[in-house]
Order: sequence, then structure tokens, then C-alpha cells
Amino acid sequence: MKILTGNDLVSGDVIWWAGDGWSRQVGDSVDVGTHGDDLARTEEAALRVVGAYVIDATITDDGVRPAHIKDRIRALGPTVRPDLTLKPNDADAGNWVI
Amino acid sequence: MLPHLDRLSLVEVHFPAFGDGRGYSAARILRESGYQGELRAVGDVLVDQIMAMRRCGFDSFHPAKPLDDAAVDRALHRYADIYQKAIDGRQPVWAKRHPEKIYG
Amino acid sequence: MYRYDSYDQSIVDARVEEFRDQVQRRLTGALTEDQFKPLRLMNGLYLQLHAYMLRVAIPYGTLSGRQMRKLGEIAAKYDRGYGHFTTRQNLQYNWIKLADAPDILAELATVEMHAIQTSGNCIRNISSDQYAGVSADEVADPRPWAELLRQWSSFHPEFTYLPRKFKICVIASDDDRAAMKLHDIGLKLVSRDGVIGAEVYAGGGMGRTPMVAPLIRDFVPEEEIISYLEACLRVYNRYGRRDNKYKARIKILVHEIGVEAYKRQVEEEFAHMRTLGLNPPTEELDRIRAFFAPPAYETGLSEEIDRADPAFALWVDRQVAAHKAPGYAIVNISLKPLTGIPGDASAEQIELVAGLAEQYSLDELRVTHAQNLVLPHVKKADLHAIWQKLEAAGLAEANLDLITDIIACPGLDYCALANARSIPLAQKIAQRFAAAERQAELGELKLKISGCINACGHHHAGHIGILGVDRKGVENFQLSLGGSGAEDTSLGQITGPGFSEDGVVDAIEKVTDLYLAQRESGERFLDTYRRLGMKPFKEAIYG
Ligand code: HEM
Ligand code: SF4
Repeated sequence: MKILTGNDLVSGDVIWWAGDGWSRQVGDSVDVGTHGDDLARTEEAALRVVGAYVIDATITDDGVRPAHIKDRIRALGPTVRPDLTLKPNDADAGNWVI
Repeated sequence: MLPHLDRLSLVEVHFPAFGDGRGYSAARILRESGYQGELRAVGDVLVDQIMAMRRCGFDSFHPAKPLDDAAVDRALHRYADIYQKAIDGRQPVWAKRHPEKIYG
Repeated sequence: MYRYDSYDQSIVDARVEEFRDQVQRRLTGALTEDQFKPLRLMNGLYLQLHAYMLRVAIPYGTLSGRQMRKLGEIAAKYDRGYGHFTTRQNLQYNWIKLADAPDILAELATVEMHAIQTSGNCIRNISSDQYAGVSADEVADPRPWAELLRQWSSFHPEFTYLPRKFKICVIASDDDRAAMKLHDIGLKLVSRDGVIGAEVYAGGGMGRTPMVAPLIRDFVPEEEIISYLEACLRVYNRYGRRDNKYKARIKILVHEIGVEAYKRQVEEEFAHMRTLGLNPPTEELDRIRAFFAPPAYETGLSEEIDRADPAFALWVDRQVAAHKAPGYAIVNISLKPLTGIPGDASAEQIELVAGLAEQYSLDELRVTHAQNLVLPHVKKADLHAIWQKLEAAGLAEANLDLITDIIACPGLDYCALANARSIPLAQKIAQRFAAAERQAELGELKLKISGCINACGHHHAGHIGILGVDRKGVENFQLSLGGSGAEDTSLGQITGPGFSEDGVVDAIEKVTDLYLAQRESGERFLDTYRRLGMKPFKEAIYG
């Protein structure tokens, strides 16, 4: 599937297109099909996102999994600071990115 | 071109992209060689660059996208002090700090 | 230390207001991201993997306790409680909100700091020797020159849109602690017939095409340094390549037209420039120099250090360097705890070090290109008290210049350009070589890791260098040997095919074992490598 991601313009947080708005959880991502680039342009113009781009992803047992490690690290947070990731209480969360 | 400068009254320097800074050197070289006529910056000229262009000797601007006059005015007056001697005749802070020295 | 006068302050304050205006225009949509990006970069604000990142300049690596305290306060108030000290004497915050950035710059301005030109294709923060002013072997303190250049380069009207970034370094000792020849321009102060001037090196750099800068002039007197640099920059601004950003650094220009041609053009331009009155009067450098006059050292101090505690003695032997004044010492504070993140410091640690500087180091601190901190003026009698406080804060690692004193860029954990994670690899290596005896046995061994070819982690200059590459979406690491960023500058050679994370740690163990087996008396790893060449190391690794 194709999903759309970027950063929140004001806070810089990593965000994912969830169909009716943006989410901080990669798991909320929806397939944007061939509309990703258009969506990115409108959402950027509406000042809700910066640096939006379309990526490949798959659905797995753990939910939506971006194809590239870079986007998996974006989805989780820095693997060397588990306390600052979206899963601070899951000691093994870092394994998901590899 | 430099030997014929005194016969020219307008030189346009083209900025193909705002990040292409060769025009700043070109302008200074013209002024350092004694060119007195109009020196116009043309092309991708943004308000945030006007002050540097003025300091390098440009005295007119023909931006591809028109600029807001009030914003240009703010940009030109934002820095009361500057660190380098350039073409615009403004005193750098080192000259203000040592007023006993005479600068030509 | 240098203090701003009302001119310096007005310029920095004006910049904060200008940026506030630009951020406002961005937040209301008057500026698109394409228009805003170069403006925010000129103020050190990047968009990184997880958030905005702000890079703050620590000019020539010197700061006061008050400035350091402010860096800690900002980390606690606007970031997630820490900062990252970089190889270019900057500090990076990783979790900045766009709307907060102007307020952060305003807070920095209250302690005479800024983020001006910490990114963008302009002249960047001027770097220098962390022992400037306190080492016995320098011909003069390089920092007055660096401050003169900081002022000259700030908002330079002609050189703000160069073909590419431009990094200048100033040193004044034969021992190069700042990788001077790996800068776009490196200045080494020398004395000739009692006059101080600079040897000028141009066209060094790392990145994808690393080059060691050749000497282009053996002496520029101090009163002409500005016009000479204007000439160097003008030639580069006019003729540096703009068609390909990977070929846009000055090193490529110097390489393509040749050193002699570049020198000739600079000399022609200089002959013209020196007639234009661009140089500040000598009184200006004297004015700046007065701020860096040696502080009032106490006399009659004891040289004794009580070495009864073995852990303390080990730390002293590793982290403490000779100071030019009797009874004083230079303390290196390691930011490389074995399980930590190279260069990271928490707000509390920053605050603690600020306090140590105020209490024990004449209110002065340094940051180093190796991502460590320095207390430059410490009485030997105070060393034990300082060590105890560092120990309590997790800052008493004794590993300066050893294999675990690893330089590592942020890599894929933070950086949008990365291919691989540098930090977890640094931690694995540190753990493998953790035993203090083993580190001491290996001696000086500079290990440097970059997460991609941009080489922010100086891997080309590592005795052992590691480069992260992307192999079909999987992190992979290339090993290189024989680089140096010191006075014997050299570029490392790649050993061969790359490795997985664990594989590269094993390979390092093989090359260090070979070194231990083959070294002759007094040889460092680098010396043995240079004597033996790559072949035996390659055999040991891939054999
Ligand atoms: C995380 C954000 C960063 C980005 C986006 C970034 C980007 C870059 C790029 C694109 C280059 C290559 C420039 C060229 O070859 O023309 C570069 C070089 C460099 N960066 Fe970074 N960097 C980052 C962080 C850092 C950090 C954390 C450090 C210090 C630890 C650092 C220090 C350097 C150094 C020393 C160079 C080599 C300069 C040279 O080529 O001569 N950078 N960086
Ligand atoms: S070397 Fe590459 S990965 Fe590391 S900080 Fe620089 S740009 Fe990022």
C-alpha cells in the first residue's frame, strides 16, 4: 500500500495521513492509492503538514509497516532513547524497526 | 566590459535562482572598478536579500515576483550596524569603535 | 572571554526579530516551505527525522558558565532535556517546535549567543583549538582571530549565497587538535620575525570526496587577513561549481583548476582587495585580543596531586592535560560514557558542568571537535573535588583518545540523510572494548563513525573509520583504516566489503589484535598501520 507522512508544521511531530486528518500513530495510516501527491499539496497549502511524502508500506500482524527502516524509525522514535519513543514502556520496541 | 564602464548607464545582473550568489560578486566588482550607473538586480530576487544586494552596490531591483514595499523598507532598515566594509558607504562597526582612525 | 558591546548585541537582537518575523510569515502561510527553508537554515533550524532541530553556535568552542547554564535551561524548557555536542563546536537540540524557535534565539541572545549561519551555503561557525590560550606550545591565542572572523563573516553581503557551505578553522600550535586541514580554509598562526601572521590552507574537507587542504600561502600578516580571505572567497564564489551540489565545495574547485591556478587567481584578487580598505585597523584586533588576555592566575600553588584513590589517579592520567601556568591543569570531561550516546549531555549535566566552570575554572569552558568538554583553568588542588562531582553525574569516564572515545554522528536515529544508525554501533563497540586495561593496552586509537557519506562523524579522519551504507534497505558498514585529523592529517582507506553491525565489531577486534601482535615499541595503532600497510589488516579481517 501507499501511505502519506510528513511533519506537523508547528510542532514538527511526525504525522501520518489517517483518512480524515493526521495521526501521530503509524498504525492509523490509510492507503492513499494514487492520490498521495495531490493530498500532500493540499495539506501543505493548508499549513497542516510540512515535507509530506508518499511511501510504500505493508499490513502485517503488528499493523502498518513502512517499507524503509528510516520511516520505521520515524514511526517509533530514536531507538537509542526508548524513553522518548512512542512506546516508552516496551523494552523490545526497537526490534520492530530492523 | 570593464574598460567601457564609463559609457554604460545601466547594467542588469541576472539571478537565475536566489541561491545563486555570483551576482553579489559581479556587482561589487563593477562598483570597485568605478561603474557609476544604474545597477539592477533582475530575476529571483527576494525581500530577505535586498539588504545584501544594496550593500554590494545594487541600486535598483526588478524581481520576477513583485515585492511588498513595506517589507522592503523594513528589510533595508533592520540592521542599524554592520560588520563589513562594502560598497554602500556604511561604516562598519570596527570603524565606529575606533573613531580616532580616519577612514577614506 | 569576548564580551559583546552594544554593536554586537544590536546585530544579534536584530537577527532574532528578523527571524521572528520570518517564522510568523511561515506560520500564516505568507512564506511557502521552499521560500522559508533557506531562511530557517541560516538560523540553524533544520527539519529532521522526528522534529525540527536547532543548531546553536559555540564560536571557536569557548563559553562561560552562564552561557552553558542557558544551554541547559533551553534543553529543559524547550527540548526533551538534553542536547548533542557536535564535531563542529555546535550544540544541537533535537525536538524543537517551530513556534518556539524565535523565543529560543531571544534567550540565547541574552547570553551573547546565536545560531547565525550554523547552516546554509555561507561561512559557518569558526572553529578552533580547545586548548587555545592554555597550551604552552601555541604562538598566540587563535581566538581573537576567530572572533575577528566571526564578525567579518556574519551577514557578509557578498558571501551569503556561496556555491556550498564554507568552514574555517584557526589554530596556533604544531599539534593540531581541530582537524584544521580538513576545512575549506584552515589558518595556522605562525610568527615571522616577531610578527604574527597566518599560514593559509585551502580546499580541505570530508564528505563524499575527502581532501586534505594544500598550503596556498605561507604568510598573511594579521592586518591583511580580512582582505586575503575576501580574495579567497571571491574566487570561490565566482568560479565554484553550482551545477552539482556534490561538486560545489571549494575543494573541488581547487582540485579541478589546480592549486597553482587557484593561488594565482587569489593573489590577483588580493592585490586589488588590499587597496579597498577592507581590513579593520590593528586597534580592532588589539581590542578583541584584550578580552582573551590570560586571566589572573594565582601563584605559589601546589603541584601536588594526591593519587591515593586509584580510580581518581586513572582519571587524572587520562583526562588531565598540561596547562601553561604553574599549579594549573586542563581537565577533559568525557561525553562518552560506555553505554551512553557520544556527545549527548542532559540538561542536568550541562548545568553541573556550568557550575564547575564557575567554581573551579575561572568561569570558562570549551567544547571539542571530538564531542567532549574541557575545563581549561583548573587548580591541581581542585582536581579531586571536580572528579567526585563528575563521577556522581556519570561524567568521569577516563577514555580520552582511547578506542571508546568514539566520535559518532546522530545517524539514522535522528538524521534524515542517514543510511544507518551510528549510535547503537558506537555503543556495541564501547561495550566490546569496555575493560579499562584493554583500552589502555590499545592506547591512542581514534574511532569515528558517520551514518552516511556526508561524513559528519569524521570517519575519513579516524584511525579506524566506519561509514554507514544502505544495502538494499539493510544497514551495512564500511570499515576504513589509517585516517588522521591531527597534524599528520591523512585519509583512511576502505578495507573491502562492508559488514553487519556485529560483523564490524568483530572486524575491529581482528585489526586491533593484529596491531597488538605486530606493534613495535612506542607505536600507536596508526603508526603500525602506516608501517605495515593495508595488506596484513585485510588478511586478518577477510582472511
Ligand atoms: C542531523 C542533521 C545534520 C545534517 C542534515 C547534516 C548534513 C550534512 C551534509 C549534507 C554534509 C555534507 C556537506 C558536503 O559535503 O558538501 C555534512 C558535513 C558535515 N557535517 Fe553534518 N549534518 C548534520 C549533523 C551534523 C552533526 C551532528 C555533526 C557533528 C557531529 C555534523 C558535522 C559535520 C561535519 C564535520 C561535516 C564535514 C564537513 C566537510 O565535508 O568538510 N553534522 N553535514
Ligand atoms: S554523516 Fe550523514 S547520517 Fe551522519 S549526521 Fe551527517 S548527514 Fe546525518
